[in-house]
Amino acid sequence: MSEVTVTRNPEALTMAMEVTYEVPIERVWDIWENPRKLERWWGPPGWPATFEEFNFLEGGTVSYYMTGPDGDRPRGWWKFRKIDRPRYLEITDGFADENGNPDDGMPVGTFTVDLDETDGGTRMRVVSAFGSLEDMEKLIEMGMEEGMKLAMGQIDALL
Amino acid sequence: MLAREYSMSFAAVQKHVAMLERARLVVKRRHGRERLVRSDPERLRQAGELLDRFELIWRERSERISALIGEEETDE
Repeated sequence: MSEVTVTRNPEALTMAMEVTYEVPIERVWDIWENPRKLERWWGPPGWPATFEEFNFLEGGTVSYYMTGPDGDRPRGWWKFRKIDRPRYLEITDGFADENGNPDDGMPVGTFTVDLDETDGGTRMRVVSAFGSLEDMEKLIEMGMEEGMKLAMGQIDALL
Repeated sequence: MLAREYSMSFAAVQKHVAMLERARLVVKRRHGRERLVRSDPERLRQAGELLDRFELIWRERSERISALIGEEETDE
């Protein structure tokens, strides 16, 4: 794996991440297309993700939850806006209620995934965009806060 | 003034400022015939802090992906 390059634009509320893996493009595509693989990298440590519904087609929806150490199960959803196999994905994501239905009162984010074949590897670029600072705060907290809490707990345990 | 300073059309500048304003990253003020725009440093700082956290999320994810892909290689 190459160095990870991150380009941030706090004014536009966007972030781009780029990394190159030394494997063929199909194998990187598979970590997005295969929910059993997604589950192994999406959630932060201690918060494994479980993808239930997973309709990998344009307009298809996904429902998933993460399981926390205390049994909390925050739920989220995705919608595949565009799929151009094996190079491009456009996804909108947001929060879901306890039944897995999109929570209309909560913000929605978007991200795109670009894969490109390089000399002996695959470059992956993920670009995320948020509509407002408040949306960004809520969406980032879903992916992060619990992981941070856990990490802090581990530090406490060490002390 | 903004349009003159950047190689952008007035309409493009206006559109960008409107976006920044919606995100409340800038504040617009009327001064005679002019509209003055200034950035909201507190909001920009908050956006920067959130992006710090988001960057960490994706750095960790890219590490897990690397481990996952590497693991498959040894399985084969």
